[in-house]
Amino acid sequence: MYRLFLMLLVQLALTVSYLTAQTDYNKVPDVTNIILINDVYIYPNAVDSFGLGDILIEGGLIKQIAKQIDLPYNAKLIKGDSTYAYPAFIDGLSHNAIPTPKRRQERPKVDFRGFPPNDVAGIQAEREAIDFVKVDEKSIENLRKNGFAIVHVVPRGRMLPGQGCIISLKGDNVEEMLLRNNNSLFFQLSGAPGVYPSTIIAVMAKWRELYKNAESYQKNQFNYNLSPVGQARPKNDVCLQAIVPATNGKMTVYAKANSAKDVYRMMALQKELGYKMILADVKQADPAIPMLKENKIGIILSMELPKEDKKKEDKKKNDEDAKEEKVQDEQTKALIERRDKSLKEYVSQASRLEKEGIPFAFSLLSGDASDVKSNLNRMIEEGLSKEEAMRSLTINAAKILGIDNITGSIEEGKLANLFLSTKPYLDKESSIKFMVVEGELKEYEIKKKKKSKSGETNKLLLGDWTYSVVVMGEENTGVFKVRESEGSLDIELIDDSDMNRTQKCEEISFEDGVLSMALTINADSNLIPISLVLDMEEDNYSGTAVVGDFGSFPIEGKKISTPEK
Amino acid sequence: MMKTKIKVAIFLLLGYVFEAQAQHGNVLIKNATVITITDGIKQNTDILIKGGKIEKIAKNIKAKGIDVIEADGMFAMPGIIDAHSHIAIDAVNEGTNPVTAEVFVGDALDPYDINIYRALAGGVTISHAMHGSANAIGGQCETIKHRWGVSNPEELRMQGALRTIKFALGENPIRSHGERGGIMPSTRMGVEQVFRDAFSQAKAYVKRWDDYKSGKDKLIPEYNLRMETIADILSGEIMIHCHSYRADEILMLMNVLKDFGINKICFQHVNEGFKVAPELAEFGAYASVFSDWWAYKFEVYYSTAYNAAILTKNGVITSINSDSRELIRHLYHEAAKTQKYGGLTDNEALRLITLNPAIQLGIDKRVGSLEKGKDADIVIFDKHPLSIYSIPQYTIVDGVTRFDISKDPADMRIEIDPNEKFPAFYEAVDHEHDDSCLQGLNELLFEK
Repeated sequence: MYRLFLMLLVQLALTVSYLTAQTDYNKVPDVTNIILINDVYIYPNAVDSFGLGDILIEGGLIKQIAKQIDLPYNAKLIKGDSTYAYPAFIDGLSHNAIPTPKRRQERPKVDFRGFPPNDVAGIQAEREAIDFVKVDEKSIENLRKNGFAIVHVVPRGRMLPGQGCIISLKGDNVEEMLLRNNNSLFFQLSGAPGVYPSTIIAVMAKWRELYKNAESYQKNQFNYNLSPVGQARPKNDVCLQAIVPATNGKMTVYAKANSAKDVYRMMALQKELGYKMILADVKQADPAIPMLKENKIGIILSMELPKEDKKKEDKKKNDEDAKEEKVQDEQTKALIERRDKSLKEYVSQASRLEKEGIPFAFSLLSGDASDVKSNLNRMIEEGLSKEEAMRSLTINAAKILGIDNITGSIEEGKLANLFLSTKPYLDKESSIKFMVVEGELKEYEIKKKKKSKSGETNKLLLGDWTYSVVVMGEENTGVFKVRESEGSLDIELIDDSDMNRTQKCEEISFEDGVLSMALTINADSNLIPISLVLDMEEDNYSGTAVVGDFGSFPIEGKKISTPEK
Repeated sequence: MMKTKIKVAIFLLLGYVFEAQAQHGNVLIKNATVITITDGIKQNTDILIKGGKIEKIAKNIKAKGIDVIEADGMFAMPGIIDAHSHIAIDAVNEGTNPVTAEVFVGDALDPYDINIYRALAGGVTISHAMHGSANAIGGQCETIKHRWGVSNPEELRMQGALRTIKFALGENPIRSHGERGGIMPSTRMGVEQVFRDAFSQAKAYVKRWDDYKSGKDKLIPEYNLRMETIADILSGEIMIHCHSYRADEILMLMNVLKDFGINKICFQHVNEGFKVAPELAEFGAYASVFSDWWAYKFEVYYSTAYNAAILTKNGVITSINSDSRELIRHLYHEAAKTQKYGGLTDNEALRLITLNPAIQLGIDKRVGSLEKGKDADIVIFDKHPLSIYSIPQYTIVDGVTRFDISKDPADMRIEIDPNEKFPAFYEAVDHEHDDSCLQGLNELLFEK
């Protein structure tokens, strides 16, 4: 009975979440494709202000930008109310818009693990990302409400998952979304578990082999077509065929390289074979600086940053912890210092690229769109200029992807991709009120943060809250109970999969309406650390859950009861 | 100027060395007992190092503006060379196929592996980073110089070293493929056949390309990196380092190699080498052994601590290796054991960890002894290196002091996880003593 009750509640929570948050102008057929946005502070290149003005949009394009534009009789008027208009963001490379696969997939049976079929080996250069894009994928709305209009989507997979495409986050069907197809060949140093190539060394060897064979594939096909009579017919191979454009400079290889070591490895392979390459989802870019300075092609950094050590700040406040810190021996202190320095190096890498004059974009392959602003601000604290931060998500990304002629700034003739922010975007208090993707309009409700004394706010949290989060294609639901004991918050989590077990949350803090906490779950005897950052409203919330190494995922829920007094 | 400043700032901030800067150093070692290996022992002698090379070995060398190591009462000898290890690589076994000649552990070098520094602290300047022994024909190995502190994996490579490849006999390839994969080899006969098949296929492959190059065939043949590599073994460009234990199998492989005209081989482990020492000597095969490590699986019971001495006395060029990130720290102890078991002379014992492994790796023209013109890879001990009380004081690679016991901070890591839960310095030390030749194979060996 209890279970049924919970399930109903979870369902309710889900339905409610669909109804709130936005007004979808698309549901009613548009009467007009002309929109006038008036009285906004316009930042045409995301950096320099045009001042207060109006923007006229027609047929998905920016028609006119001026101090004052008369409202055409057939236009829809959006009152800017002195908000701030920025060019919409571009996600340099990710799997967004492609559904996450189920967590547990059965391993396909192969006859010989040394010679698996290409799909099991993860060698699928012929696949196209657009075939996997789903128009109703949750990540699309998550991107859009965080200011993104364009994504460079690459397929999921292993070594060679396929070719990427650039999509516009608009419309009701995939065809409408597609901006540019076969934009890139995605390559990563990921082996196939249990079959060849399973290790990084085999992946690298296989890549050399495929590349050389793609080169001769083209020549063989050409020579055969020249005079087929009396010649043995060359074998057809869709995968090699798909690699051919990378070998003759017609397609860029987007090489995923998180770590410094992978950056070096990808650069070594590129140097050896000589294709056009852009490093993507990079977390340690420093090794690439000399190469990037030389050919100025740009780099796509990961939007994900290592977590901050929140404990440290708390410690300063807490006397007992301060005492504990004194007890720490010199050695441990030195280790913590180095760890913190390492964290700084990660966060400041963007600023080093800027100083070297190397353009960069950001990838959401790892990281979540909702963290973009806070992560940018962390990078700015470590020396990145606000201007470069804004350029990296707009014009720089457009240049790297080769679409700066049609987007990346608010300019007459370019796609009408922009958003209106209640305050300057990088301001912590800013939120996005309107999002325009190729003239398609979305309005977002501005959440009002509660401001009350901490003692009272704690009281508002007390009660039972549902949660729902999709991790790796599997939905997890449950309840967490917030209680107060001796003046501090006490939170327990009960997952629907195992209602007999309660999980205590730690590192609980509640400030400015944001509840953060951490817990460790035991999944198949693997301990997975989870940290939650939740934006609390009076009776519902939304936020992100960082689940071990799997990434961060949006989480939401609502209040279902308050404890009896 | 500004740019230089930024560069320096980045250097300081990251501890990264981007390009091959400071790879070759200048040092003057004063008043050491110099153990040259090839030219006797020289008392109270200086060694002048310039540009990473040994420029002079003599008494009372004067040089200005150069770092000096006062080595009064200390012993300088060639940097120790480990002919069999698996440190500083991110992948050891591509255990999915009995033949994986195309893979190359040099692609996955890890310059941040703390074991490099620990090996330096044991006087080891060069190690042979090997593929594992899961496959009959494993991957290509890489000879690395222990240039601890570099960031670019390329800078670990010993440029110009002979190319080598790992082969394996016996239980490991049989377990990995016959028992778990249900394919050949599932017996020792099968292992032999895997070699013969691979060599024959490579010959046919070379012929296909010859036919194309001579214009007989119009179609460009398929490029097969596996076959390319095996063809390089056939042409003598790559030397085989073969994981082996039993005497019968060692003879078997020598017969196979004779049939295919291959003569470059170093047998690794080779615990029953003492039984076939004359045959190994006649073939010109090398042997790289443990001093006294055995009985960790069935085929490794028939062993003796006299192995190295017996092989040496029979004229086989023999070395003592570690195959372990722990053993690599005291290879000089391992060498000393051959004096207890077999009565080797000081020089014979020290050759086992210097010049002989250099010969086995095809780098003896550059390292392995202290001679004018050779690379300045030197370890300085406080006592005679074969004394149990001896401790390395300085380890120098290409004239750069990479280990100095007087400047040995507790935390020597290069890479630090920015999310390290609580600083886990001790976590990286582990005392497991398992078969590192089968590293990375759990997935394959123990899956359902």
